[in-house]
Order: sequence, then C-alpha cells, then structure tokens
Amino acid sequence: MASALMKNEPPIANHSTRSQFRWYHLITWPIDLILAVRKMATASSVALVLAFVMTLNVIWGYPWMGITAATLTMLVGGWMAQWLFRPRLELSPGVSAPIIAGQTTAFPITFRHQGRWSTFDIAVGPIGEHSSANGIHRDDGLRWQGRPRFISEIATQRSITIPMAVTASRRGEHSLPPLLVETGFPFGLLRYRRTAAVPGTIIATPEPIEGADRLPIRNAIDQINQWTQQNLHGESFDYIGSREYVAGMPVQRFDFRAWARTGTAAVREYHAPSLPRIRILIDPYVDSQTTVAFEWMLRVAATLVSDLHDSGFVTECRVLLQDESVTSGEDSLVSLALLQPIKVTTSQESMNQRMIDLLSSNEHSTSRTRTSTADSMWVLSSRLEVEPILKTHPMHLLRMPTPMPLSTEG
Amino acid sequence: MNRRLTELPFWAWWMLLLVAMLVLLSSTFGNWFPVGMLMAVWIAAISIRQSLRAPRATSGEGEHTTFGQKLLITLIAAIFASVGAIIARNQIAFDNANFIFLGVRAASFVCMALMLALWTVRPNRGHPLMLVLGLVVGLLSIVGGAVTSSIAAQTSSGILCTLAFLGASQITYQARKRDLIGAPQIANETSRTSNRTRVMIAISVALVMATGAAARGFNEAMPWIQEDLRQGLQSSIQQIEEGRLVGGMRYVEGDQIGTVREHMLSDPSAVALRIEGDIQPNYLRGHLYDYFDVGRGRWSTANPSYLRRFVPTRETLANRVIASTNRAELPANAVPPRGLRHFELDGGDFDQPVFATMKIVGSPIRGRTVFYPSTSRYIQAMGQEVVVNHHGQIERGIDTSSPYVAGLSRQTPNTDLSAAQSMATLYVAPAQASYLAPIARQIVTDASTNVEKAARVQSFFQENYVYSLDPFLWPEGDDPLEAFLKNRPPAHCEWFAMSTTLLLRMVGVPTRYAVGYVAEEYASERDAWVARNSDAHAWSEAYDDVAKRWFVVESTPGRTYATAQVVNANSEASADGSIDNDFAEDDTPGVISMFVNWLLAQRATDAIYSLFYYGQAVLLIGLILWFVRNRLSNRPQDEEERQAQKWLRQTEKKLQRLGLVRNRGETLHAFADRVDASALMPHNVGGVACPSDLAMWMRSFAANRYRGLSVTAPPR
Repeated sequence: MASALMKNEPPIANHSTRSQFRWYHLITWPIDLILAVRKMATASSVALVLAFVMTLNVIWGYPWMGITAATLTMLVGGWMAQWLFRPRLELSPGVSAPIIAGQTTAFPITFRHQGRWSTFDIAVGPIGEHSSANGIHRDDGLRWQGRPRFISEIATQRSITIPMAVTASRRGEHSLPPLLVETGFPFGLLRYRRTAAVPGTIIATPEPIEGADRLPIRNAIDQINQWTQQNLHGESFDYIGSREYVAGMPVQRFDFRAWARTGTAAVREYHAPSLPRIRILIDPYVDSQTTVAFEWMLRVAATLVSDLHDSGFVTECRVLLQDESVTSGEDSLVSLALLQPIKVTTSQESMNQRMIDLLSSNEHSTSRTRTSTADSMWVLSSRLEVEPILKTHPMHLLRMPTPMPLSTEG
Repeated sequence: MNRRLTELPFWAWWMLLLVAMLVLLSSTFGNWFPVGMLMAVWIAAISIRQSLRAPRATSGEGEHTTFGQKLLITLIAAIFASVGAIIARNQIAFDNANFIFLGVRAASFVCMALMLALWTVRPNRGHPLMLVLGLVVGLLSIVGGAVTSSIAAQTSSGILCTLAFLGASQITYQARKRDLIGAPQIANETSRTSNRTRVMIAISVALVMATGAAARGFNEAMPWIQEDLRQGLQSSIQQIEEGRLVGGMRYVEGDQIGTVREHMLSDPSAVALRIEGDIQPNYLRGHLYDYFDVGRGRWSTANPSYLRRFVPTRETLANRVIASTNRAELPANAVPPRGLRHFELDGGDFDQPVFATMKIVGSPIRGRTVFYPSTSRYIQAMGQEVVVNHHGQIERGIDTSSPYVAGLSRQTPNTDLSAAQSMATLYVAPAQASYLAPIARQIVTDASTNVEKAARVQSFFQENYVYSLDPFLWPEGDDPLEAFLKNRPPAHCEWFAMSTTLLLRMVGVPTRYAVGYVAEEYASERDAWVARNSDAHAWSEAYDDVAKRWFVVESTPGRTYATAQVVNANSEASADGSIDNDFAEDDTPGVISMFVNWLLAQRATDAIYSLFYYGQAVLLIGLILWFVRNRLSNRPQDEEERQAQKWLRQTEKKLQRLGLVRNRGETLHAFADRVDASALMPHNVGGVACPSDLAMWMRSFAANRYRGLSVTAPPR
C-alpha cells in the first residue's frame, strides 16, 4: 500500500533547484533580470552597489580606485563563488504512511547535492505566502510547517536527511509542495534562492472528529463493545476437525489419533470466538446541497474506522457500487481519503435498491452464523433519502449533529 | 583570553572593526583626536557592558531596534552633527579652511557617530546600515587624504576595504541566519565545519588577490577611460566651462583651441600652482600633445590604439613605468624629503648636473596633472610608481595632493626620436597640409636646420601678429587655421602654438604642442612664486636633430621663452648638485638619519602593498603545496593498492554516469545489489558498461581485498 500512499516519480536530473526556461523568457528577460537581481540582493550587496556607484567618480579623478576595485570584485567574485558553491539539491521524501488532514506530521526528506563542489549554509523551508514557486505547481491543500531548517554543509554527491513537517488542510491525494532553498554563502554578499520541487504525492485521510461531536460515535462503539463482551461471555473453543500437517504448524495441536488412523500427520483445528466484524458502507452519492455533509460523513467514517480499530474490532469498509471491501484500517482510511462524491442526477431508486440488497445480504449472512455476536453493518450516507430505507431494517439509529445524518444497522 | 579567534562573540568583531575605523579617521583628520578619544571611550564602555553580560546575550538573538532606540540614534547623530558644525565653524572663522574638506570631515564625523549609535543598540547583530556607513566613512577618509592616489595606496585601501567589509558582512549574515532559524538548530552532515572555514578563507584570499589585480588594472586603464569619457563629454564640459562655472577651478588642459583662453579668463587671479624656492620657475609644462584631430578639433596625446588611425606604425608609443630610485643611485647629497620618493625621469640623457630644485604645491581639487619645467631631471613626490608617456612627460602615479620637488638641469635632455615618435610629431592632417605646405615653405625659405626653421616661423608670428585675448572669429565655413594664417588677426597663444607646430611639421621638423603655466610672479605674501589661471599658456616644442634635444619655440607675440632662473646667489652656490630641500631636516645625512628618513618614507599603505605583493605569491604557493600535500597524504604507498583504488574510482565514475552513486557508508556489496536492481530499469540499458558486470567486479573486489588477494582490472 505504501506505493499508493507515496507515488515517487523517478528522479529527474537536476529536477530540483534549477529554474526552468520558457520561450517567453526571450521577451521578458530584462524584467527577469531585474527581478533576479532584486531576489539576489542582500544588505551587503546593496551597500556594495551603492558604494560602487559612488566610486565611479574615479573618472573625475577621485582617489577611489582601490574601493572601486574592492566593491566590484566583491560583487562579481561573490557572485562567482556563490555560483560555484550553490546548492543543487535533489529531494526525495520518505513518506511511508498517510497523514491525517488537519494535523501536522513530520517525515524525513533526503537532500542530495548534485553539484561539483560542496554547498554551505543552506536554509530549507516553506515558501512564503506571496513567493512565486517558479512555475512549479503548488497544491494549496498541503503546506510545509515550521521555520526553515538549516544545513551547514553538504559535500558533493552526498545527502542529508532532515525531518520536515507538513499539514494537509483537506483530505485527498496531494502533490508535495515545493520547498524554498536559500543560501547566502559566502559572507552573505548575495542571496541564492530557488524553489525546489519535492517529487511524489501524499495521501491525507479525513480529519477525525474531535470534541463533543465525537461523543455519539464513542457511545455507539461502547454499546457494541458491551454487546460483544456479553455475547463472548462463556464461549468456548469448538473443535471443527483435523487437517493434514504442514510444516510450520504448531506441534502441540498434533492429532495423534488421526495420524495413527490415516498414517499422515494431522493437526486439530478449532473455531475461536472473535470480535465482530464491523462493516461500514459508504454512500458516495450526494445531493447538490449535501457536499459539506458528505465531507462530514467521511470524517465520521474516518473517526469510526480509527476508533473501531483501536477497540480491536475488525472493520470492513465498502463503498456502495464497489464490489470489493477494504479490510485493513489504514487502507480503509486511504479509500476514504480518495473517495470522490458522485452527484445524483437521475432517479435514486437503483442506488437505493443496491443498498437494500446489501443490507439484506448482510442480515442473511449474519443469521447464518452461529454466534450471537453477529457482524454489524454501519451505513453512512449524506442523503436524507436513505433514512426510510434503514428504518425498514433492524437498526440502531444514531442521532448526530447536523449536517451529518448517520445510521447504523446491526 | 584563551578563546579561539573564531569563537569571539560578534560584538568583539564589531569592536575591532570600529576601532580600526576610528584609527583611520583619527589619523586622517588631525583634529579628530579629542572626538576620537570620546568615541574610543564609548566603544570601551559598550565592550565592557557586553563582556559583563551573560554568554547568552552574545548571540544577538532578539536584538531589534525599538522606537525609543531609533530616537536615541537620531539624537546622538544630531548631537555629533552639532559638535561637528561647531568645530567646522571655528575652523572657518580662524583657519580659513577649505569648505569641501570641512564637509568631508563633518560627513565622516556623523557617519562614524551613527555607526556607533547603531552598534550601541545592536552590539551583536549589527545593523545593515552599518555596512553602508562603513563604506561611506572609508570613502570620505580617502577623500580626506587617508591614502594617496598611488597604486600601492589604492591597492592597499582596496584590500583593507575587502577584508573589513567581508568581515562585517559575515557578522550581519550570521546574525540574520540565527535570527531566521531561531535556536542554533544547525543540522550538519558531518562534523567537518572546518571545511567551510577553509573554503571561506580560500574565497577571501581569492577576493583579495582579485581586488589587487583589479586595482592595478583600473590604475592602468583609468587614464584611457578618463580620456575617452572626457572626449565624449567634451561638449558638455565645454558648455560649463564657457559659463565659467568650474573651468577656472581645474588645471588648464588646452587640448581644444580656446580652452586656454577660457581658463585664463575664468577667475584669472586664482592661484593654480605655488612654487617655493629661489628659482623663478617660468615655463611649467603639464601637457604634451602629439597630433591635431581635425574632425574633433582638438589635440590628443599618443594613445597607441588611437594613433594607429592616423599614423600607420607598428611601433607602440606605450607609456613607461618608472620605479622610485634607491638611495644608492642618487647624487651624494640628494636626500629625498620625508615621505617623498625619488623618480629619475628617463626622457633622455642629462649631460649636466642638477643645479637647483623647486617645490611645487598644487591643489588636489584641480586635478592630477603634474606641472614641472621641461629641464627637470627628477621628481621627488609621493607615490610608488610613476607612469610617463613616450615624451617622458609624467602621466600619473604622483600624488598631487602633496607637494612635489623637481630637480632642474640647465638643458633639456638628449634624446633620440624613434620612428613612431617622428611619425607622431610630424603628422599633419591632409586637409590642413594642402594649405599649410606653401605657407610653410614661404616662411622657412632657405633655412636648413630645424633650429633655423623654428626661428623663421617664430619670427614670422612675432613680427606679423598681435597678441589679444579677444576671441578670434573666422568666417563661417572657412577653415579656422587657414583663416588665421590668411587674415593674420589678433589672437591668443593657442593659435600661435598650433600654427607653429603644424607649419614646422610641414617642413619636416618634429614638433609637439605644449600646455602649462608660465610662473613669473613672486607673491611676497605667500613667500613663493605663483602661477595663476591667467598664466596659462600654450607653446610649441621642436626637435633639434643635431643636438638631439627638444627646444621651445615661443611664437606668441610679446612672449620670450625662459628656463627656470636662479634669482638668489646663495641658491646658485648650491647648484652644483646639492639639493635645496625645504623638507629635509638634515642636509648631510648620516647612516642613522638616512635610516630614519627611509623609515619615515615608508607608509602603512606601502607596507600593506608590499606585504600583499609578495604575500600573494607565498599564499598561492602555500595553497598549491597544501593541495599537493593533501593528495599525497591520501595516496597509498603501495603501488598495488593505488592501482586498486584507481580501478574502484573508475568503476564508481562509470556507474555515476548511469545515475548510480554509492552512498556514504554503503558497502560495496550493498551497492552492487542496488546496481543489479537498477540494471533492470530501462534507463540503464545501453549504458557505457554493463552495470551487472561492474557490480560483479565490485563484489569480487571487496572479497579479494578482504582476503588480502590481488584485484583484477574491472570490465571495460
């Protein structure tokens, strides 16, 4: 799943801190030059330029040739030195898990210096609100957090890994925003500043609900928990049968009788009581007015998934009209993160029928199981039309604050 | 104080820089001493305050200028400006001081005070404005006379400026960096911070060396740049000079006909030169021009590249550099005055000894032209090297803000003319030659020698023309020189000198156009001879091919050429080689006094320049040796080991071309696995070598080395 979480494109040569040339730069180069000079300016360079302009009076005989030479040399030489030791970084993020929207998460980023010479005094940090990203696409859903990080030296063809914090403002798959790479080496005479693209995307799962809004969900889970505890009370391990031994099976479970009878090694198998499997059915359809409610529903779903997982329940997340369920908690959250709402345009009967079928099949399968801890299906929908359907089935209806209509069916 | 130098807090670095600036200012402006002492106390107080503070307070974190502090800075600056104004007023009242110099001093005064005020509120971080103020203080102190115009002084000032500015800039940069990242949460790949320091030192050295080279380059190129610019802006300047705004405030140039007259008429009584000594200076030459550019209507000196447009010669007429002469090569009694260096002018051979000297005091604001008699054998002046043109006339290198001494011979030196010099001094534009040739032949008639021809031309103008400062107006559309020769109107010296020069050239006499002053007035109140603006003059100098000397041809009616003349018998008595030296304290120097004189002649800038001049070679050699030593120390002694490492480097380079770089700490086996894995990727197919073969070789390399076996060559 990690590949789905972090889609690292293959590194493009010098993809990172090199500005891109476009055809219109042929026309706009004077403005680009002015802007570039402005971008490079520091207090020192401004002082040097002012002094240099003043010392141009040497043409009238002022004895400032030494200072003219000094200012010019420091400007030109400083620029050359900075160019030689400029950071040419290739960035590769090391994201291994999805992040949660609204929360700040840190993950390591490896900075590899591709230049011929070592680079020094590099500050890496988020791009300011008003800074341009040099044509690199910026995803507003994701922002780097914190103050710039400082790297004192990276030798040529060497790398350094430092943690960088990021916050997603909304769920979904986001491309990582570029970082600002800056150095004033040497002596702060000039400033070298480039935006460095960070390859890859990251998935932000819906933000869990917190505070008072979370209470009904917590209550519902507690209720399920109570039933489960009651039902499991007095349960025993039931023998189901024997099967052929395969290397790796626990030898304590050898069925010696069967072995003697059949001549092949066999082990006994038991049915163990387990926690109920909670199925969450997500209705991706939205009315035109319920987009906000849809997002809220996903947050509820994410909260449910994480809370149920924490309580030890096995959850199964399924989206209406999709044939496969996702069982892993992390994968469920990822599927919630990537879920796109579908606008209802025609009759809702077919999708409602589909939901009824799923509920019916779940009831059927539950009645067939011998345990009293029947699997539960939780239906989450942002449409009000769903509520009458759920009422026709035995269910526990949770009243949640608007705009979230939440129904559970067990 | 057992701290390492690099661990000095920022405020201590600032303190050092400020003290250096204070010393510079105090030494530049003599009466700065009380103010300098006050400022020194100020610096000491802040330093003590900082050293008593907790170490945490040395980082500069949280140092921001509040409104109250800004108000304080303004107040301090205002107080210092007032004090400066009071001092200036007193000097104006009692000392008849130079207003420009006072302005410079007051400005440097305020800038230094502002710097100190800013440092008081931000002792560690400093303020970006301090960089600007520091540079301004440097510039003003140079204008105030901290350093001379010599190449040594300029180079030294440039080097010191570079070092000081880099230091100050680094402090503000470090402070800003700390401000940016807050606590020193510096992530570093390794602990090799000394590598950064080494690189910074190397860059500093490179910048200092480049500054030295640039200063020298500017010194060489600036006269040409100045000349070209002056030519380009000639019309504008001429307009200003015609308005008599600044024309009289400069030395006479005389390259364009009419400018000598303008100079004479603009503030005629203003003193351009003061000549001390018992010698009547008479003709003091400042400019020698080679050819007259008809298109631009002006005289020009032989700029080699420019001259080739007029005179087809491959021989260059490049300037020469004259270094100061050692004491041993001087005449027995020739002791250079304090701080002055001795430059033997090698414009030719002087067959007569120096009979007298004269001290010439110029005005630095008028320019850098050096005026001296054509019979001068040497010049003693401030400066490291003197640049003379092909005529032997000093072009630059002398600090004209200080007085200089000319040692006079009885005659101009013997000199041979090169082919290029002959061509340059015989050139007449074809348009002028057409009407000048018959006139010249008519004037010269049967004269055979150059001296006779010059005498005929001189007589022609002396007898047939009248001198007048009224402007000569020629009919519109006519050639002015032709009109002058045809109509014989009253005119001023430039017309006579130009006509003489060109006419003599037409009859084969190498001639040059000279401009300067004729100092014949003794100003008793100044106890010196003076050359005023009204004494500006232009004349011709012709070459005597028999005596091999240049001689003056004075064609201006009413004027007679005279060399410097002794007017005091006492001085004449010492004219047999002894030097009448106003500066020297002891005319009969012993070893100690010679040493003291030599020591006093050495200035700080010269020492810095010498240090830099020879030090950069040492630095360069040191750097090379350091690199070689590093390479040798990293180089294994064993030949087989060396070869093995070479193969490994080659293999890694091959893989690097495929985008595979071994990480630090990655074993060869791990890297080989990675290479194998990446070799399956399509972008590596068709590389220069098969990555999997190289990976296999690396495994065998690692295994063999582990076992102590020989390593085979990698696959090609």
